[in-house]
Amino acid sequence: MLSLIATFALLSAQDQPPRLRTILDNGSIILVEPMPQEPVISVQLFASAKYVPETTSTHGFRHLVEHLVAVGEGTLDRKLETQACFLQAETLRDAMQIELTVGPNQLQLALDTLSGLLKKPTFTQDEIDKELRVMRDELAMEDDSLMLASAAWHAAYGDAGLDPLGTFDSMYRATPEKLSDVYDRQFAGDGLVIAIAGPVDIDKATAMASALLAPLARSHFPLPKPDRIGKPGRAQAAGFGECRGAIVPGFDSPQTASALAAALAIGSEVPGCFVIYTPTVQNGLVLVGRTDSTNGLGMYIDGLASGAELYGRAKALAREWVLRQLATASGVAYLRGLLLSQGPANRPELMIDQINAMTPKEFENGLTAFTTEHAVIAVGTR
Amino acid sequence: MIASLVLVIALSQNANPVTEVVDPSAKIVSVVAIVKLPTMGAHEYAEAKLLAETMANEVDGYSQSDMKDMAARAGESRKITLMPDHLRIQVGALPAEATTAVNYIGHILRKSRLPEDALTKAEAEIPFRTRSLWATAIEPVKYDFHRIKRDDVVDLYHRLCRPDNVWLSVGGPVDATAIETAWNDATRDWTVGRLPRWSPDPKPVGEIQDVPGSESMIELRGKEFLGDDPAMPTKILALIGLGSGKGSAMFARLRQTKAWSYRQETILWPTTQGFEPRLIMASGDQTPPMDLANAMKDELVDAVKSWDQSDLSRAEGMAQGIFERGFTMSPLYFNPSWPVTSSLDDRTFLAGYWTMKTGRPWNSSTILGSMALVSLSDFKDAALDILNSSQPHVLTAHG
Repeated sequence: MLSLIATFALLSAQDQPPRLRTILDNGSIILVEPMPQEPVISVQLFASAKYVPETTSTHGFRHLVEHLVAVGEGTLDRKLETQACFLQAETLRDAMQIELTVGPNQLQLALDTLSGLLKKPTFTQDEIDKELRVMRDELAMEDDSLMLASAAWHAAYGDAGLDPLGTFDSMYRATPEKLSDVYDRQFAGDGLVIAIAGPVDIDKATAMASALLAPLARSHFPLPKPDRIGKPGRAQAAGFGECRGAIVPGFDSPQTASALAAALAIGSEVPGCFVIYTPTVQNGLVLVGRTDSTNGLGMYIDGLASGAELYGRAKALAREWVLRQLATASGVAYLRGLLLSQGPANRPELMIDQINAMTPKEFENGLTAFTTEHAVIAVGTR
Repeated sequence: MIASLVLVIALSQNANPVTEVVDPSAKIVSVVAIVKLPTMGAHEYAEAKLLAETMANEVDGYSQSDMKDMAARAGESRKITLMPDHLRIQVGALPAEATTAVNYIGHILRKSRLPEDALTKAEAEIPFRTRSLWATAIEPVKYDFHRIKRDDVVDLYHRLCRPDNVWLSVGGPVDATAIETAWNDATRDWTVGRLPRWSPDPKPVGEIQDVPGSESMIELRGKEFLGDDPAMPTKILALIGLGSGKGSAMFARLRQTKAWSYRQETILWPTTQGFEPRLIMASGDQTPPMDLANAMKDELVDAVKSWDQSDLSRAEGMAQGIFERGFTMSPLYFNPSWPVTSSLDDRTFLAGYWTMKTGRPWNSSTILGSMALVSLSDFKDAALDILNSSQPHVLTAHG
């Protein structure tokens, strides 16, 4: 009898799919991926930016809303931290991300917390003004690599490439009414994704998250604008260093796979390099740069006669770049949640497939995308 | 830190034990050598920086390209970092190449060529490198390369890289016997000849005094304590209470109440004798920086005096989150500008580093167990002791 029960239990575990994506009637999405060996559950809410793109007049408003929402009712963080749980929030180009890291038996706590954050707060001018004082410090501490990246995005895509951090000049114009509108657009039901990864039961977790998102209303806002178009160019950034960006289509294209592999290979040859790529379905940038010098990177790239010797290394680095993110509960919930917030069919395996299929010729094209003629170049002025 | 099975293997008579962090679920193996540093003067610390920059550039028996390819196959890169109390040399590899990685690290420690041109290039580049404001505040070191010769760096290399001064740690799906054999092979004939003559450098390591931009970095630097201090768990818990997490005193008072700062944290910073507790706040407030440092101290002393059982419980919860659940908001700043994380690389490093520092491997369960016994009064006393013994240090903004 005992062995029969054990067999059933084994079968039950084996029968579970590796992950389950559920699309609710209101358009919101739930993704649950059991990772029984993980010590924590990562619960991540993604609120798509599709109805509230950055504009020069609202630049940084989403970021400001993130600050005001994530603080909860004031004692939220203390309550969570006392239970060894943690909340962090970030405003990305394509979505706002709120992550709760909780223990194996605390999924309900995480979802209850998200439920509280999904109740629209009342913004006041006093709160906005006080938070702006703190955010002025945040903006002043921006790293050189982010300044270079921001300059490259703006050079490539103009106002369609505004960074999600914002500027003080625009944010100080925020009012409770304007932020209320941003909130409604940001948290529209059909723009929300909850991604859960860790030691969870796939069906129970899905049901619990569904109960949270299902009552939310679908959006009535107009459809997103057409995709941005990038162009090569040069820009100056307030920081120090140099950076090159390859203009690429969506995350699942061969060009993006090749450019990412090229950036990582370049980074392995030029000491001190950073590589930035946030997967997006839109046209974007794969960036490689350095903040310890203003020369050397461009010379290396333009002087590279052939990438043949780097091909194998580049492919391995790119593949591992994706797989490494899928090795932890936090990484899985982040990458899958971010992609799903941009469309229900998006998944990181599409990127891995392109990397695995990358030919030497495509890799050469990836390297070429970083040359002076084809890339967007940002140089620090400090 | 995520718990792992940690084994310590005794080796040949002239080498320190190898620490192994067994994680069968990991897909790669991480190999790290930790070289202990003595207290150094300004020139020696600059020589150590040059050593860290160049020691893996040309190594007898291994091509740089082959080693980069080996690391890349595991999605890794080779890392060499310098901290005030150690030099860290780390490489990742596929499990099948673990012994190659161990041998490679052995060769870096014994057979680096330290080419003159690489040293000259590093010496020319380092002073012009910029770091983030936060990284600068954490290690505001000013390197003094004046009149350093290659022979000085080579002497330092031989003086530091000795089998009795190196701690090896290997993490991942480790084959203990193979690692033991590989490291024994790498160290068996590693005899220490006559050490170069050494005369202590009396000039202390210089510190930067200002930073570009509008943010000053305001610091309260507490009294150093030894690595084997029995009150270590209480002190770490007090640091967490003061500045780790959004329920901490620094976040609540300096950011939420005063709006002085976006980023503020406590840091446990390594020194050659032990550790230094530090509280750092980045602020664009117009108050003169020294006045702001004093006001920061007053505010935090006031906060600690009002702590109750809920503050202790929060710090204990946060400690559990950091040590068992991998929270990144940790005071254990044993990397150059960021805390140790729950990555395999950092877990492997921490196991070996703690052995070097305290004589025993890192054990989060033991530390959390000790923290659970800390009383509210001891918790408050430890925090007040850190604050009352602290001296202000500021990096003034000039932007």
